[in-house]
Amino acid sequence: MAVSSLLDVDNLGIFFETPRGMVPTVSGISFSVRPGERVGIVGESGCGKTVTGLSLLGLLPPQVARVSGRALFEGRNLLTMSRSQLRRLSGAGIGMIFQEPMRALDPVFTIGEQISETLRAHTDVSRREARLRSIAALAEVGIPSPERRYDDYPHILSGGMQQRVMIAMALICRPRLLIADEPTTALDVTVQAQIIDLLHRLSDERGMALLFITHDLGVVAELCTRVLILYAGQIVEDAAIESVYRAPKHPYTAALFQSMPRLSLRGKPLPVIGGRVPGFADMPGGCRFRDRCAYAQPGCVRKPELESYDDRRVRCFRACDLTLPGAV
Amino acid sequence: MRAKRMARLIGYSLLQAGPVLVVATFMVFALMQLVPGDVAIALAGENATRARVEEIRILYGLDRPILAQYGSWLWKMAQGDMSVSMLSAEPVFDSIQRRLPVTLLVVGLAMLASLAVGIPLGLTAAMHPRRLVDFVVTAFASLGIALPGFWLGMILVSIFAMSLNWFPVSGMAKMATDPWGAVWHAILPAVALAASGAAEVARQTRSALLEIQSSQYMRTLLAKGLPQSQIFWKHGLKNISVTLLTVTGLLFNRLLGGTVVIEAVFAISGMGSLVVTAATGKDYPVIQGVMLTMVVIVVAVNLVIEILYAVFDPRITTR
Amino acid sequence: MSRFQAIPGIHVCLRRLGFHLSLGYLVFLLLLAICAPWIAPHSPTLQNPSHVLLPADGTYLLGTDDLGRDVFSRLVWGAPLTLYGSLLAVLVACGIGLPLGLIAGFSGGWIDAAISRGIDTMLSFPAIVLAIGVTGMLGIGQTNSMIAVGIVFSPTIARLVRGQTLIGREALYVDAARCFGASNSRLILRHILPNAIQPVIVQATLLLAMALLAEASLSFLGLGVQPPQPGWGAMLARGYHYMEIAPSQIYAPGIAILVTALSVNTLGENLRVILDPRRRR
Repeated sequence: MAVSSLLDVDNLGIFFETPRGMVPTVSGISFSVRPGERVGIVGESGCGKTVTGLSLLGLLPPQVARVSGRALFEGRNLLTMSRSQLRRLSGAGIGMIFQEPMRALDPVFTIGEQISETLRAHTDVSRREARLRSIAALAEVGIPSPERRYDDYPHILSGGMQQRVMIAMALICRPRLLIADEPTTALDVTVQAQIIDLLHRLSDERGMALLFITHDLGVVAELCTRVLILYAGQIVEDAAIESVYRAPKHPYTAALFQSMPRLSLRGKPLPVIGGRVPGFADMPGGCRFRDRCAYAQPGCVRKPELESYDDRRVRCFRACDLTLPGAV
Repeated sequence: MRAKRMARLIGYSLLQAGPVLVVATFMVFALMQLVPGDVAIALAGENATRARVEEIRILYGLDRPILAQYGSWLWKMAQGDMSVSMLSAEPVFDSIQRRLPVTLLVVGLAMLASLAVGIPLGLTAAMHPRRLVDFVVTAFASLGIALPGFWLGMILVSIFAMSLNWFPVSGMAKMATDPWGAVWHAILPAVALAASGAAEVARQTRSALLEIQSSQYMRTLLAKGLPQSQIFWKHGLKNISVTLLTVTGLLFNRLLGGTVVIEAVFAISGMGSLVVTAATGKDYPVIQGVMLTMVVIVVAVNLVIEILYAVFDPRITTR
Repeated sequence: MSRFQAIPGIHVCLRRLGFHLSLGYLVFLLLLAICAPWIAPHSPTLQNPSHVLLPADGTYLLGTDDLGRDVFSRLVWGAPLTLYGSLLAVLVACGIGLPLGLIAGFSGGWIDAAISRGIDTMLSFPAIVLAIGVTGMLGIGQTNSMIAVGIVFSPTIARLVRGQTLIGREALYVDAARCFGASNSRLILRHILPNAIQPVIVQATLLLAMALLAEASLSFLGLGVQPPQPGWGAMLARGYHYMEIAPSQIYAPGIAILVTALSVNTLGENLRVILDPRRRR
């Protein structure tokens, strides 16, 4: 498996130094992404999905964040490689796009300059050549009259266009993996769909793998082939998208589906997951979902492991005996 | 297209500066209203005869409505006629013309020193947050802001002028005939003046760079794999230059004020000593002349800064 | 997702230490100012021609000045004068700035535009020059000069209050208070002012430090405290004349000004952190 995978994360843990000591935000995260595969990471806000993405490119604030475990990209460990090695890989082998494109683009440089400087940081091309290829990249992500947009500043563009610029910038060096951190959350619904389509198409055309971080199961269903469900800093379910939708095995996954708006629920109140995500500083022992779980048993005070069942991995003692409702 | 945008911005800034100048000149004019009692008596002198007071009243147009008085006053000022000093009978315009270069020399040197010391200190502190350097710079800045510049000036005089004899104790050389001598005389005053300026600049630079460093676009630049040096020298510097421009404008205003007190320490006959003597001697035309000159200079400097601002920050538009 | 909390390092401990030190010093200074008549061993204005420019000894803790007056007593008596002047300036600044800011923020329209333009314009004058100009018109002396400083500082307060009022007013549109027919003055007093007061306290503290420096500067220039009154700035001006003979006499008043301004600033910066509503603690 390690041979065929592009990204292989093993036992990733991220800790933050706080006034009350080191607090783990995610722990024991293991998953792999094959070349060209589109994997979604889904969870509520604060579950650790964003820090997981940031940790892979060393983007966590170095003063307070500590990372443990291993993350092999094409066989090389991202978490221990030198700064300059990681720099050469960032943008070239792994691209990344963020939640708020307006704030992710440097406001005082033109979008064209920001794209070509990425290209020129990784390849030995002339200014002219970089400009031409940047314009081509802008055209490819669907920006109209890219020659003219090249000299525009980010604030002139709409949010959707800004995210397209971010995508063009992240993909200009043809990375094998794109980490997308909630790239559609800040956008209108119609624009959201366009960005999802764009990512889908580019990933297909280039055989580029995608790690798509979101809180929206619906978006994942359209885009990804596999999904990791994160709860309170742990993977609770890892499965192919169809099987998760048909029959989730973890009560949390099922609860997420239940709380999604859908037509059959018209006129009825939307079910919500009661209670709150426990804080990382005072995490309960045993199953972390226990207090909010409708299927909890006394045995759940023990710590469940992420175990393989048939086609998937689930972190629940009752994965075998429960039949949970899916989305279909 | 850029040339057009610049032209529009310059035009707009000029249009903006106009009203500020009108209000500012009106404030300078209206200062006379603060004089307790009858202005005509104040202008004529306490022992003047009744007839003389009435003569003054007519001469200065004090019998007319205030806006009309303002109009003719402004018209006179615009032509360079700032009336004459009540103490020395010298035309106010002439004494300002003679003293302004001296003040601007001190302020200019102090500006250079403040920026040259403050910016590197602030950058260094922000690049090593919470380290010893940061602590030392922050402490220095707090100290510098609380330090009375004129007191520092005295200490500088006692050390570098009286004990070591490196610099002249006081006075100023003629700028036209001895420019280097003038600079030489201006160094200690400029240092005394620059201490608080450098402290303020260091503080502002530090917090601006810290804010930029924690911004999301800095994270993008890292994720793009740009070299650290390029992130700092290209993106960091251009972003911080916007803040630094604002800081420079405020600094100029601050130093122009501070020089008034410093000039007294070093017995420099610049704008400061002029206005202090005038304030002590109730020489109203001189007070008004100095304030008018200073506010016009500040507005002009701010205008230039406003235009430069637009060069560095594309988000600034005329709306 | 970037709520990374800071660790309390040495800088936080130092900041707290600075806060306590400056608070302690200011309380001490206040007591000193109140008890000046009992603490000062000599009269601050009594001249003694036979004891001119004496060095520090048991009788004269900091020596005597060129007229034979006890420097230590003058320094102690300078404290109430300095504090009175600085507080007066801040009170004047708040007295003018608060209502102006409230009116501008609450009424909007051309009133707001006029007041805001006035604020901007006043801020384009170099502060101390404007203060000197106003003092020159009002006539020199400590009270007049500090009223002038207060006038010059008032736009800072007005601008701040205007901003806070605008925020408060926006929130009020959601609030039902308006629907119940509350009068404007009641709205301002009950709903807007309380929200604006915390930043004003912080700003006023920082202005106090600036007023202190301005007081010293104006006294030094001879526009503030008049002889024979013992203002700290005036003492420096006097000491400067015979600095070559008795250089030590410029240290005590200067250090007093520096330490007081530093303490007030430190207090202000700490108040800013403590009163910041975004920091729930």
